[in-house]
Amino acid sequence: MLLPGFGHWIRGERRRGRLICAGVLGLFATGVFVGGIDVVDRRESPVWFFAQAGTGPVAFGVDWIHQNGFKGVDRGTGVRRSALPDERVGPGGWIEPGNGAGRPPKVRSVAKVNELGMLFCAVAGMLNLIAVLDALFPSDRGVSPSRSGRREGAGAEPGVERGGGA
Amino acid sequence: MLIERAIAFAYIPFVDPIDAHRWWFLLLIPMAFGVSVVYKAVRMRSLDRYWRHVFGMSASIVLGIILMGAVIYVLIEWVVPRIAPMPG
Repeated sequence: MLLPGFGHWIRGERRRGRLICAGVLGLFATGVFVGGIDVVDRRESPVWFFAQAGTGPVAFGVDWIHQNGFKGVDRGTGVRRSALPDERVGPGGWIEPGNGAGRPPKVRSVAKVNELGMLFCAVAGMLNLIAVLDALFPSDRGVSPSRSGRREGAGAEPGVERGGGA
Repeated sequence: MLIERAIAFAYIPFVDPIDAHRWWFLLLIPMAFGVSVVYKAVRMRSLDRYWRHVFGMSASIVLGIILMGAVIYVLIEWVVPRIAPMPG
């Protein structure tokens, strides 16, 4: 959980670990690129973050940056929130009217772009959970006799999948 | 003044969203590719011919989703109106 693919890497499966790391971080980075930093939000999208957290410290780090670097405190309610398009975050982290002088620290993503960005990051987290389970419980399990005969016999493809289940 | 305003409102990668509202469906391709990279890395016994399997799985996902979309389109636009026509 420290870094995607790290479990495989320390087990000696260096290439597998690197590929898992590249795949998981690539999906996560694509999600943030598509939807902006707004797609990783522990406070406003807790259910999505539950899945995204599977990516590990990367997700928590991005969320920390989002909460502390791109949100401001509402003077009226004292609640930390994203600035609206006509607002900006002033000195001290307070949300102030923009008066056309600047922009908020980030643009909020909406509609499908927001949904797809969150989905990319959530899929990255869930795939990393599969990788973590595979690193914790390495197995060559489940190859049924009928299928193993075909797979491991003469001419078996070197790239066949491990396991026999779904 | 105009340049300062332009800089102030400029797009910042990884902070602001991209403008993909008209071609959002093309994001299926990187999604399928990313899923395939991780899935095949975990599932394959040997990583020989890894990329061939990754591209094959990515193509299967994309074509499968397109096929499902076509089937659902036919179901919603053709089949359902014949089975249960809208009143009026």
